[in-house]
Amino acid sequence: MKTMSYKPAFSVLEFVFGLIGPAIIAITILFPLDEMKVGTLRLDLPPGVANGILAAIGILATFLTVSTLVKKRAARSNGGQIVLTETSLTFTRVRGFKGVLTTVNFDDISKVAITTGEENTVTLWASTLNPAKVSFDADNMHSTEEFSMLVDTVKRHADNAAFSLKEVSA
Amino acid sequence: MAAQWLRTALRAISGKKYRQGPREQGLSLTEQRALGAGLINSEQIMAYADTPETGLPQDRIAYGLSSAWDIRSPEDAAERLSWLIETGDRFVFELAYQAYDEAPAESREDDLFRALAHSGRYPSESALAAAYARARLMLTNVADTYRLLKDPVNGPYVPNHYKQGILAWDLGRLVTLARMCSDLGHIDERERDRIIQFVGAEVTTNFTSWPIFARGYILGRAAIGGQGVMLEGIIGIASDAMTDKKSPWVLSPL
Repeated sequence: MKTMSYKPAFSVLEFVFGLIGPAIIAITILFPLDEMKVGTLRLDLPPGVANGILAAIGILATFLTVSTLVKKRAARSNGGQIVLTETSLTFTRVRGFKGVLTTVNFDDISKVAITTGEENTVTLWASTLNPAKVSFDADNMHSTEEFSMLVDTVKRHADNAAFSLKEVSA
Repeated sequence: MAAQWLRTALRAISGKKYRQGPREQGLSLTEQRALGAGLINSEQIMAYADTPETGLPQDRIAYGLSSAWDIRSPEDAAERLSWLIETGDRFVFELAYQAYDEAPAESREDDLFRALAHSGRYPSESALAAAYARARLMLTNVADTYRLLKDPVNGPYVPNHYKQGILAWDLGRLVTLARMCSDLGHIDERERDRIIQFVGAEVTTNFTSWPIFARGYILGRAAIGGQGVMLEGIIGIASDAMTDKKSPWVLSPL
């Protein structure tokens, strides 16, 4: 059995974007808007509607950012790892906002797509998975050696799978 | 020289395949099979596909032998030909694949070194070191290309194909190398014909079809060169040789 770390990272950019939603909401509270203008289109709206629309946009942006962060947190749950045995691969899959441990038998994998170069990913398809496709990115792993080990293990054990390789250049 | 290169380039551009040489007498079945073993290599260098002579200009042969094989004398030629006959890359490949297939990733190189050292084939440390360097290269390339190789006739290459080895890779190069060395006078025609007979007999004994031979050849090329443009080119030549109605492989199946 081999265990390797798999933790999607929180990026600084995501935190920065995360501030945009609350900023829009704050603006709509502090500054009442009389009209909305999009390019040459000018909308005369009843009082408070423009602020309401902007506030809704702010709430949506906040929700998207928060949900992304929560989903990443869920993906890092259960130890945030991939466990490889002779017969199967276990990883954490996000369902809703929860991390659920999922196991796929190597024999059930029907297709494997590997990308190398600028992007290093391995994508598996198995009918026993729901959804049937799952991707692992080398950027979320501790080292390139661990990613190579994952690819190597899949290559050696997924006997029923068709493999393909794609070189991704910058 | 420039005119020769121009002729070569024009031949390549024209897409003319399976060059026919002047035939004074027919080839035996064993000789046909030996030349068939070298077909991929012949197409690469645009040698005649149906005569023991390559039909290539002397300076091109001399350049090819020295750049690809480091052969500059009859002694060099005898040494390289003897290596291909006795060991070639097939012996090291077998050990490299065994290490890849059986050992955990972290101990593959150590296992491989031990297997080479215990084989008894390398009497000196320098010979062992050279074999180990080649074996490590093969190990890396096997790991990189494993399960990713395929051709239009054989389909995807599965683990069992690796176990069948790369004898085809050695035989294909051996017959072409013997022909080139003979054309340049590094070996005499008798020695060339002896090698042709050897290759033809090995093909008859070990292969039941040209596609199976092609698969072994491609596996050998991938083990040495890894995945790349050159490998794609070789697979393209092999695919044509397996399907083109004018191909010697199609005209004279095993």
